[in-house]
Order: sequence, then C-alpha cells, then structure tokens
Amino acid sequence: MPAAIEVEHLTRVWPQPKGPPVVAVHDASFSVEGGEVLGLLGPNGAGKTTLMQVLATLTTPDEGRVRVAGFDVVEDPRAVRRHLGYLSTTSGLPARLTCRECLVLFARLHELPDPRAAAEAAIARFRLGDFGDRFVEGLSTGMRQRVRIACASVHRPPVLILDEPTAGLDLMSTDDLLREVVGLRDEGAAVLYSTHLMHEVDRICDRVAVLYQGRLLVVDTLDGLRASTGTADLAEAFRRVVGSQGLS
Amino acid sequence: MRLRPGAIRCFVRAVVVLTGAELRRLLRTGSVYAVVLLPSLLLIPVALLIGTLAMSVVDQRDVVALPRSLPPELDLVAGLEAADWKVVQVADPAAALDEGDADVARLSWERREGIAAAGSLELAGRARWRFVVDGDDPDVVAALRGQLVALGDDWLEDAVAAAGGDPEVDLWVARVDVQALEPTEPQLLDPVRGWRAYVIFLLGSVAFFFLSLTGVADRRQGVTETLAVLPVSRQAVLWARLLALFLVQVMATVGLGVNFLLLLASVAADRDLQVPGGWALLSLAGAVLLSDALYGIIAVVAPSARAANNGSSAVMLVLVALLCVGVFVDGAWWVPLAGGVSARGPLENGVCLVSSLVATAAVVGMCARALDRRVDLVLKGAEG
Repeated sequence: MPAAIEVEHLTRVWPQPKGPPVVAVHDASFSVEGGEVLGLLGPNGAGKTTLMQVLATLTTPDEGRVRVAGFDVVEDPRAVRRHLGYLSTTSGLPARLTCRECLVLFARLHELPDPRAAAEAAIARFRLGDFGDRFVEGLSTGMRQRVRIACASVHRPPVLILDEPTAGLDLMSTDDLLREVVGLRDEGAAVLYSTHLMHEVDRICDRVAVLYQGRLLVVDTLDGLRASTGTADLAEAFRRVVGSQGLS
Repeated sequence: MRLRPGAIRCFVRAVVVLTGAELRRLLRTGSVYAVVLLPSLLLIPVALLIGTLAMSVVDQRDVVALPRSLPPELDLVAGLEAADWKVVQVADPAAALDEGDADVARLSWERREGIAAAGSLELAGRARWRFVVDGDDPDVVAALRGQLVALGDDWLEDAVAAAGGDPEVDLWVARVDVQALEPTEPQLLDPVRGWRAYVIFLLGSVAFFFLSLTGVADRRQGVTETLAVLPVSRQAVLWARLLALFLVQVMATVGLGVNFLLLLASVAADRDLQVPGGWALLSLAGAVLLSDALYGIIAVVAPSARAANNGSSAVMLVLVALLCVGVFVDGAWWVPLAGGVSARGPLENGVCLVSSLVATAAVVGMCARALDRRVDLVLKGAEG
C-alpha cells in the first residue's frame, strides 16, 4: 500500500526579478504513512512553506515527483485536493460567514452527500457549538483557528498538511488544537506538521524532518534524532543538526 | 479540449455553491451599502430637488418653430407670443423638431387666392393662406391650429374694417386653412441623452464598487488560498465571484433605476413624458454586464493584490477627472478608459463615494437638461 504522502527528489526554484533564482527545496525525498504525524522543522526561510505548497497543489514542482493519497500533484491536482486538508498561516475564511456556514460551504464544495450533517459532525468534533452561528470575523484567534482546522478536515481527509497551526494561539487553544490533530491522526490521517515549537513536536509527532536551506537534512523518529545528535533535548538536537550545516 | 458532462456538472455545482456564499458575504459587508446603496438613496432627494428646480426655472411655454419666411400680412410671431407660445424662427423647422428644440412647428405655408386676391370681401371659397402642421399630440396641434385661425380672423377683421364692409357677413369665410396630418405614434425625441448619462453613471459607480470590494480583500484575508486547495476549479471561484457581484449590482442598480424613473416622472408629470420600460431594463442590464466584464479584465490583468490595490493618488485623480469629463461630454467611450486607469488606482471607499456622488450630481444635471423640453411630440415636415 503506498504511503499517504510520497515525495521523491522534489526541487522547487523561485525565480527572482533581480539576482539569481532561489532554490527553495532541493532534491527532497520522504514519505508519511497514514496514522502518522511527521513534524517538519527548519529555520525561517528553510523551504517548509514551499514544500507544503507543492503538496497542497498551490504550486508545482520543478523536478521530482509528489503524490498525495496516491494521486500525483501535477497530473491530478483536483483528486489531491479532494483527499487533502490544508491549513497555513496565511489561509483564511470568509469573514462575514458564520462558522456553520463555512463548514457547510466546505462540505458542499467537497461534494459530501449530506453537507449539513458533516458540518454538524465537525462542530461536535471540534467543540464549536458555542460559537457555531457567530461570524468568523468575530472570533478570537484561537477560536478562528479551530474553525479553520474544522473546515480543512470537514471531509475527513486522509492527508492533513498543517503549517504552523498554533502560531499566535494561547496555551489553552494550543492544547485544544493539538488534541484535535492527534484525534485526526488516530482516525488514520497522515499529518505533515510544520512548527518551530519543540514541545509540540515532542507531544504529537512520530517522526521529524529537518529542512535547511532547501535541503532535507534528517528524516527520523524522535528517538532516532536524539540518538544521532547525542542529546535528549529536542531543541538542542535541532540546533546540532542545523549547526552541522554552518548555522550557529 | 472536450468537456465531460461530469466536469460541467461539478463546475456548475461549485459555481452555484460559491455564488451563494459570496452573496451572503457581500450582503453582509457594510461597504456595499456605503458605496452603492447610500448614493442610491441620496439620489432620491437630489433628483427631486433638481427636478423641482428644473420645473421652476424652465420656460413652460410650448415652443413653436417658424420658418424665417412668413406671410407679411400676418404678424404670426407677435400673435403667437401674445397667445403664450414661445416662438423661434429657424431656417429648418423640421430639424428643430427632430433635435427637440421645438415642440411644434408650422412647417410650410402657401399663399392662395383667397378673399384678398379676389379683390373684394365676397365669398372666395378658398383660404388666403394654407398651413401644414403635423403632430402626434392632437391637443397641441389643435391649439396651434386654433391660434393660426384666430390670427387669420384678426387679419380679416382688419381687412373688413379697412374696406368698410360688414364683418358680420363675412367672418365665417375660411381665412386660414390648417391641415393637420394623422397623428403618429408617440416617440421619444431624445431618450438617448438621458439614458446614456444614466448608463455612464452606473458604469462608473459600479466599476468603483467592484474594485473596492472584490477579490483584493479576500486575498489579504487568505480566502483565495483557502479556496485554491478545495477540489473546485479556480475558474469556478472567479465565475462565482463575478456572478455574485452581478447579482448584487442588479439589486443595487434597481434602486438607482427606480430613483431615475422617479426623477423622470416628477419632472414630466405635467409634461406628458413617456418613459419606455424596455430602455430601463436594457440600460441596467448593459451597465451591469459591462461592469462585470470590466472587473473581470482588471482581475485577470492585475498581477497581484498589491498591484491592483495600490497606486498613486494622482492616478485616482486622473480617473475621477476622466469619469466626470466623460459624463459631461456624454461620451460612453470614456468609461472603459476610466476603468482601465482605475485598475492601477488606490481604491479607498471614501474616494469611491465621492466619485459616485460627483457622477450622480453630474448625471442628475444632465437629466434635468435633457428634460428641459417636451419629448413626446414628434412633428414631421409635410408639404402643403
């Protein structure tokens, strides 16, 4: 059975108006199985967002092959989107729709047989009942993030791509959201989870991939990373991996 | 490329679903009401005020166009003016009618033998002058006819008195013969002027509206990215947005259209103005469609949200100037030009509102000007 996410020798280059092109991702290969959370780590500008955008069909790879849920992101992007839930730091929801309306809209666009039932199920799963009829723009950051992840997963996708989903959230909201991600993983979803926060990695990730200047340095389990870097502290392990490439 | 039925169904379904969401979102957006509906409401008192002013300052007399050559014996100009007609003497009365500069015209006349040519006041059986008047308003034609006959009577009385005859015997003689042709169907002499101005106004205001409220804000909010990872084509997202905007514009412009009709009705209440409904629908539909097309072009051409939304204020000033000049010179071709410039202009709502109001005032003025004449009377030139 193929992995939920398969990335083989992916390269993505961003041309620049002035100066040489930027190689955002270079020859990256990894995979993520269903029921697994892969933490994607890397300093700012490492290429994490570009990698996730390729997986989400927001941009295309220059080289290599990427398959999501068994579908090629170039050859069948719509099928990829049908099996994908995507949440980034820049994605948003229509401000003047209520949470419930957003969920119904997403369910309809995914052509679910009973959009309203799917929306109600998501409301129950993510505990949105108290503010289901409030406009998205009137929600706090944490509430809004919960609605966004509920919308991204209303169709129960086998693959979730989450780009720093807890950015800006308080502790309680972060706890809620991580619990929800774990719940989705336990339901069998493959999750690619980008973050800068090591305690989140320690809490929910099964494996980690470290990206630095577009190159994938390490793909390993948490224990494997600790062992290879000689430290039990994940933050220190990350520093050592990246530091070995010349970053202090 | 061959479209599969399933793909078409998915596309239509996505467009319908997204359009519903867009409509909900737009109708809950305050700027819609501030930029479009508020000016629409403001147009009611403005239009009524202008209409009232127009009615109070406009010369209400019917205008009769006469040729420069007139029977010297009949002082028609003085006689008609004394009877509260406004007389204009022009080389071509028919042209004056066609251009709406006159309500009625005495298009031709001929001298006949009549009683004067007979050399006495005996019955001659023929009129001294024969006039031809053609019109579609029997009342106006009858009024002019009666006036001409009365002038002929006056002349005859003078002639009888000068000849020492007995007027009681001879006054029934036909001194003036007025031939009125069969009334034609009522037509609008100059409907285009007012409606074209209205269409220009609509185009300008809705162009501002589109540019200030559409995809740009969505991109900033990340909605575009969110929609881009859903299993719908990006064309469906664009089409849904255009469709939703179209529907909102229809709703908004219906208000404007009603106001415009109110203006026409108020000014024309006692001037027999006829407003064809088909013109209103065509104008509205055309304005909305063209505006949508304009937005579509801008949305496609704009390289980014920033590029579409940020420009120099000088560009916006040029845009406003183009629009206003375009309205005043009555040239619809200014509108696409203005819209094109606006694609690079800053799209602040305040500017849009001011621009809309400026355009509104200009158009109301034009409408009042266009209505400063009777427009339902068509007189055709005819040979006597």
